[in-house]
Amino acid sequence: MKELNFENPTTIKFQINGRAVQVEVNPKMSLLDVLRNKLGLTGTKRGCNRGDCGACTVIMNGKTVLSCLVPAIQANGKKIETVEGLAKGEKLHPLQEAFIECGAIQCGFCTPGMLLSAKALLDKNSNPTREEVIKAISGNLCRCTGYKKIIDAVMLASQKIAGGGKNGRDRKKNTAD
Amino acid sequence: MDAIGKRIPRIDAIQKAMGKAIYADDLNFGEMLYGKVLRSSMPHARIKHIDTTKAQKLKGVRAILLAKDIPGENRIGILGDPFRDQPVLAEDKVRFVGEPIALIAAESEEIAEKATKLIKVDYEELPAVFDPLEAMKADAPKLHKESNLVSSTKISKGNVQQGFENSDIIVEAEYRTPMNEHAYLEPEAGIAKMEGDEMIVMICTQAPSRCREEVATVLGLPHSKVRIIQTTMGGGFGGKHYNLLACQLALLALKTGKTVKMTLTREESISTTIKRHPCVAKYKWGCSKEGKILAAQIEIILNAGAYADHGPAVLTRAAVHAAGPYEIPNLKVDAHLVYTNTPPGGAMRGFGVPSVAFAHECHMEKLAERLGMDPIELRLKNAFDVGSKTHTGQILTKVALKKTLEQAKKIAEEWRKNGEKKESIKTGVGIATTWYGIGSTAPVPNPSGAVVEILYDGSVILRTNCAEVGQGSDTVLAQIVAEEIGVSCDRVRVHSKDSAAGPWCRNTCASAQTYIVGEAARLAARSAKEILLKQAGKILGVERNDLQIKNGIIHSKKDLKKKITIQDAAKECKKAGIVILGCSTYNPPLKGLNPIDGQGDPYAAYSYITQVAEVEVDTETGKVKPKKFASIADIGKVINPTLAEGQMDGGVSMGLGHALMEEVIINNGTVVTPTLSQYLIPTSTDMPEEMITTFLDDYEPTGPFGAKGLGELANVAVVPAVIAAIHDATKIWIEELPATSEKIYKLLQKKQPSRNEP
Amino acid sequence: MKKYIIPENLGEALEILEKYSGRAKPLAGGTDLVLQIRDGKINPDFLIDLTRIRELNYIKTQKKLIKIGALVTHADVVNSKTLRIKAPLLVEACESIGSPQVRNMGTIVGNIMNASPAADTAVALMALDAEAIIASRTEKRVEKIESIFVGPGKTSVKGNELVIGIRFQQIDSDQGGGFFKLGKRNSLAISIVNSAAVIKIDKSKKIFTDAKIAIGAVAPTPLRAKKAEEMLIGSNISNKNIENAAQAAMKEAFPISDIRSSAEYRKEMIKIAVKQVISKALEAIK
Repeated sequence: MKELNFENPTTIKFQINGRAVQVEVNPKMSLLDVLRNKLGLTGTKRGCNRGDCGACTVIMNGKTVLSCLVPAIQANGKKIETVEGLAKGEKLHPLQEAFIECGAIQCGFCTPGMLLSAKALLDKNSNPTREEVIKAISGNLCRCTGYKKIIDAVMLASQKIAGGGKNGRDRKKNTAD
Repeated sequence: MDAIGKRIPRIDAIQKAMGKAIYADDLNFGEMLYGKVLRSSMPHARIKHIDTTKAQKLKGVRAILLAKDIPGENRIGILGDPFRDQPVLAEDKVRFVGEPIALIAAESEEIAEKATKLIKVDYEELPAVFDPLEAMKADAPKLHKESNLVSSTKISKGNVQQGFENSDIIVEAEYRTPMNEHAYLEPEAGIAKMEGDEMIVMICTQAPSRCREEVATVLGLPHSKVRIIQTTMGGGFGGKHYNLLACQLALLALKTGKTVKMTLTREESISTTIKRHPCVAKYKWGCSKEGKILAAQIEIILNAGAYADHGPAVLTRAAVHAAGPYEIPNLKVDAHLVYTNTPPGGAMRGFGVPSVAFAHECHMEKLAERLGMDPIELRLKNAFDVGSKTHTGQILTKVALKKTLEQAKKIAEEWRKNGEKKESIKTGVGIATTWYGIGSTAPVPNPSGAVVEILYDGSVILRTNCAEVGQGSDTVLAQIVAEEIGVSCDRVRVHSKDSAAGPWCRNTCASAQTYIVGEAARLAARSAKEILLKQAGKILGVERNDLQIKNGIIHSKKDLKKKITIQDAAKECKKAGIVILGCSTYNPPLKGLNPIDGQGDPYAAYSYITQVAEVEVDTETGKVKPKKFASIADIGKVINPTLAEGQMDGGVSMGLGHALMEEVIINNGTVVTPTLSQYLIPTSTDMPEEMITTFLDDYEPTGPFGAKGLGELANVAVVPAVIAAIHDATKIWIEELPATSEKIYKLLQKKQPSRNEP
Repeated sequence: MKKYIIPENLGEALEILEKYSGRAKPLAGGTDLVLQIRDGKINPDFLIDLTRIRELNYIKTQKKLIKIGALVTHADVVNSKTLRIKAPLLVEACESIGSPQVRNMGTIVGNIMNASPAADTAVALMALDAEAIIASRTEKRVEKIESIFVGPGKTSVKGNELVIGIRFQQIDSDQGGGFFKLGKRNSLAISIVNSAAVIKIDKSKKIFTDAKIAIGAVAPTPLRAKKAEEMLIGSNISNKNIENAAQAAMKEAFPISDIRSSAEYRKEMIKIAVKQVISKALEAIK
């Protein structure tokens, strides 16, 4: 059992975009604070700090979470994926390519969260219906795009992936369970 | 054309997709101080005393500023005098809950926040007024001077009394629209630091040139010593014209000599920054039994909130658009802007037109129903056409409005064929049409400058100060410059974010950056091109008129063998000691408006739109489900179809939000919807399953390559289309927004309508 | 706030709760708790992070009894094949909550302990006649979900106790469940009114043999509409009887007006909600 003082820093270890890191955190901090202020990964955005907008969405152990509400300590031992981990060097993830191609990015502030919500969907269900995409991004607010081109982009990305991208398997529907 | 009309991916897309784009809150300069604002808890009060001693003693606090500490003028106001009425920090009184009273800079956000709680303010509470109709009364509490009336706009032509006398049908109604929030995903943030004798503010502003002026004035510096660097912006929609934060940051940076950062919380952003003006509009229209509108009498009251900000301009635009895109021989519009003790109103997508479009389109629906006429037929009978005279007496030379109506008619008819499903769920189809003047309303001038330089390798730089808020202006400007010169788009670099680099530019508002800044950029590009062509002509031994540029090659039209690449021509310019520089400004010609009758030419061009909505109304709960939405727009030549479609989709989603769920609720001056779980905007699951957009692509001769504007047009007619569809489904009239399920349920309970009932 | 404590197993957690009884708050997903602390609404001296206690993460069936551990998230419920078949009502309720991210983080026990009058899982669990399994260092007890709620944000769970799971009987073939939620938008929406029902019928006699109807967001706590239930039980399956029961339910609630809705509208919607959940429950039986 660990007992951590709120005033004292403590060290947490986790994986961020495949890379092991060790960070000193204060138990008051959120995962979002750690990402932006400690690791300098400003791709994940703070839109409201209350879990209302989804701009802070990251993937933690395969599931999307609102990093502004996740206590930093809970990241210990976890695998975190942020927008910075999508591209491999200069090679964009099929989702990123699709977002650009479809015009799914305007101001771009919701984009990192959207990409990760979409990735979490495609990682589990590589051939989603439009309805499933709409549901997957229902916790990510966007004020610029009206969501249409974002949904188009995720559908396009699923085709790219199925057609021999990174996960070039055949197009079997993978629902959870 | 090579660049115009092409789906060029936006210039900043890759950076944004990779999470590399730097927004204001992402900025980090190592050791910084953090700013916080102490805000008024009273809607209206005199400040008797401010005690900062405890806060001063808090470890880590580096500066506390009050009004008396402001070195320059303690006044901001986007329109300038005589509407520059807001203090950066409250002086003798506060006029709305949330008004800034003190600024704190400290070593951490936490310390700055603690310090705000340690400052003691002694208020003498004053009676407050929240309703503009109350505020207009003689005995109402006064916010500023002897009257709460900020400004009025009057438009009149013909004789409305006569018009009503000649009318067979007269319809009267009152329409109300609430305070709306922009809800950009990025809360306001910025950084300021003094470098030498220059104040640099890096901030998400959509008015960088004007911001420079306001910051300089508040600091008491010459404009040339203030530099505004616009960060990548997470949306603006009009809300980021408010230069208050920039001034606050600059004051703290000046005082401390350090780099200061401040980010508003979402609650501060919703509760204390500029909002859409609530509106009460009284409409009385008369028409003949053949369906010709003969008279329109309109009274508009806008709630200014505590300060004028953009209010007077919003009022003027609302007044000009109030009667809709219809030929009306007798007209009287009286519009008034009134102070109340609520957060100040300012620019928000549509700038007054959403409120009046809701009113004029609902009114047309009522007239159509009284006449027993198809609503689109009624509109076609009265709609503006080439040669029409507007309400301000302007003659329209290019109008594709009727085409948008005709296309909408086809779609509406097709959609109406759908039957109803469950007994309790009714389907309805509705349309709405409106117009939108491009550019700031006369007499506010709209100048913008642009500088184009063709570099010696043939690549091109465009320098402007045009704020890219996410709408894609950088990309569109690159396309215009590329097309004008004859290079590919990826050879054009747009520098738009630094007020030191680009010349004066109008604010990003009024859907006019393509039309105005685009034209300035095009003219500057042409100038630079001319210099290049002149030199090329010399080299090739050919007259200038014989030359053209295609795919980066300058060649003689008569003899194709006489050619030179742009690169080589540029190198020749270098040899000859010529800088290939083009410089231009553009300010569309406007006239008026006459202060007595509002006559004049308020805009150089108008865009037009008709939208169609299909909705389902659950009559048991009143809940509305948008099913389909179509937009048919005349925005001139579409420079970038992907970007234009994106604007339309976004405008529709914002309109749906306004129609069904968005409302800033204020209780005794306090905003009680300060979070995004209380002020609701549509999620992906609230959008229609089908959205279609059609652009008529009709060439506008006064616009760069035929373009006009779209940003706000996309949003302004959405509400009335939805409201008309709700009426079609249920026969109820919505006259107050938002059309929540509760409002609809209550209206349904008053009568038991069926689709075929008159 | 003094300490953030991370027990490795249930025993440790219960020890700590005993030690700091009344001064400690258990934390799982944190979607409500983190905000309440940040807003200054609560200020516990100790936060007890339960997320490492694997023994609390289970969905088990023992014959017809279903047990769900305290760390099971709304998403876990939605993704569970077992629950989709045996308790579709609860799946529907969990699916209506928040957004995918909120569902990944929030637990159903957390939703109960937050005790919002509008909690969506509460009405479903009450219709399922679910019980909370409550443990302290020295004892284990069981309490009906409906009596756990004592007021807005208040439960009967004591300072040294932890709800370690919930349990209920699966829905049988002569039973059906229905769920209703009315919000101002379709995701990330707090309920204006919610409701759930589990109905049992005698198919041959065409009568209601049992009914459990819960309504939420219309009183200081979610509640069972007992008068409506009584009216329905033993009556013929007819629209009229359903209407009457729904009408009766209206009288059992004390809704308030707030930014989402007026009290009158909430009251009217109770009737619609109860009518719909009973009808849906009947549909589910067919």
